[in-house]
Amino acid sequence: MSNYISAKIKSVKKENYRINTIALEKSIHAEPGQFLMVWIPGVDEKPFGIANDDPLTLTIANVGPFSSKICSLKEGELFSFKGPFGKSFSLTKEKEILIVAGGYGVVPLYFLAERAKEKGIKVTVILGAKSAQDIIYEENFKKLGCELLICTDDGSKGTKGFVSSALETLLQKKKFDKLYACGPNQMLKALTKIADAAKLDYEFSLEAYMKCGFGICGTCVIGNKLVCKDGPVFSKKELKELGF
Amino acid sequence: MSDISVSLGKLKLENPTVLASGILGTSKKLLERIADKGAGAVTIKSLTLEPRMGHNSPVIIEINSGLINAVGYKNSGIELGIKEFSGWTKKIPLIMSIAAKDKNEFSVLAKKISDCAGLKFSALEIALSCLHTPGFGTLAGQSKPEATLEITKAVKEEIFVPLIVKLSPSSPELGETAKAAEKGGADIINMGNTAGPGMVIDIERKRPILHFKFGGMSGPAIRPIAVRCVYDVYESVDIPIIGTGGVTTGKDAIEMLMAGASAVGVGTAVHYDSLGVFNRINSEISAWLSEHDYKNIKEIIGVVHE
Repeated sequence: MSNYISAKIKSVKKENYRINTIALEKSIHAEPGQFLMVWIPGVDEKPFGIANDDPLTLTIANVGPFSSKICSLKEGELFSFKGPFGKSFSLTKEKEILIVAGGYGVVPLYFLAERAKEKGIKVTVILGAKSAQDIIYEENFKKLGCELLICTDDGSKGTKGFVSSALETLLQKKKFDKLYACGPNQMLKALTKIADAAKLDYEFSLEAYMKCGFGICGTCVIGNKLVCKDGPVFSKKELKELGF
Repeated sequence: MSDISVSLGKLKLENPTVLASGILGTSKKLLERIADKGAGAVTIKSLTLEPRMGHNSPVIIEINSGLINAVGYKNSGIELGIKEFSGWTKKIPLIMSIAAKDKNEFSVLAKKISDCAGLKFSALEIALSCLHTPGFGTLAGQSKPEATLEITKAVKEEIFVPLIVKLSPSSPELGETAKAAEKGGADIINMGNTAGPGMVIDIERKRPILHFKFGGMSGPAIRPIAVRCVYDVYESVDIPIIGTGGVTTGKDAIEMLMAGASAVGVGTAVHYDSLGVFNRINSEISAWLSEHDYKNIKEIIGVVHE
């Protein structure tokens, strides 16, 4: 007996020099912010955010030996995973939301934007990365009809600077019901300060090194919370308790 | 209300549920959260001399009625671990846990823990029973009576708190091993680690799922084995026993106590019921005792042996 699902890869799309989007011949029920544990037999297993659940789609950056193996998988090959796991972003009464994505933190947020649009919610997106070549999902957000602001650290695309500066400028002229973000912890910490000053509610998805993915081993602990089970999406209140 | 407080020799618990080592015990704050959820005592995830990355994943998978794991002692090492767990302020006992390659290494770890003034712990557990980490536990022969005796003796010399020796349900000479632990100076036996080892194969990928290929089984699937082990150990030694293996309900705990345990380990049950499991087991124990006119939980410990 196995609680893993193995499905054939339907397509592999190259997003940029190191990021691939893999769509499977398989759909699941998942909510934006949840993740899968992706298993390569004999190699390892690691958590990845879900970019879409129908068909199941993941966008994976080649940043180490494991993700390099995933990025080398081709159409028709088997892809194994279990999940979805973890808490998702919440969409309740919001009418207009703001999404801030740093690097490939964009993956679960694209899924969120899609669900928000289905509910008729207005979505503005600040997409930030090191350089023009690291910006992904630009076209996808445009197709959804999201307002899109791009910033790069080196100014090679959009505004030069961090997403936090773009957020600060934007909040001076516009109000949102909630901010959703995912990216490096340092970026998220900067965002909390700006959002707090603007009295804006928020939910962030945190990243952590995980081993089991479902709340037993304790590897992904931050403070008194498990990123895999209590998160990966945390509310403003929880983020404050965790020192964000 | 029946009294559900128990004694493990000098170690007093408000209730018999003890968070088993290896489940969640990776940070002090997480253990504090578990303390607030009604556990009678909590045990840290075992520390080793050096930091360890453990095995590659998958390290834990679900099976029918339980889990099977080969985590491989992933931990931050004794130095960082001592810092992490220092300054315990909760009322319930904090149990430190160590795993090591031989008696000398066990002795070094025990001394480091004893020497740390900021570490407010109530007992030290030594794991001689891990099934899936080369160089440790059963794979290093630590579950044999001779090794158990010499390791227990060596650790006992270094500490001033009760010593808990954690034995393997897969030990072929369990009674003799328990006697060796008692002779070596153990104050408490923790009868129960994962059983097996077992293996699960993914038939689509035609490979064992656990990266280490095999691992220790836990949860309801192994409870009858754990109960039998507690029964046997109770017959072999006079020191108190923590019965660990598959307890997920109050009735499971009662069964373990009747077999001879004075307290019960709770681990895999956290997977089924999250952290609410401690309060639930305790209220189920109280309800059962009241229904059967027991005023005190101690009246049922070891009753099947009478």
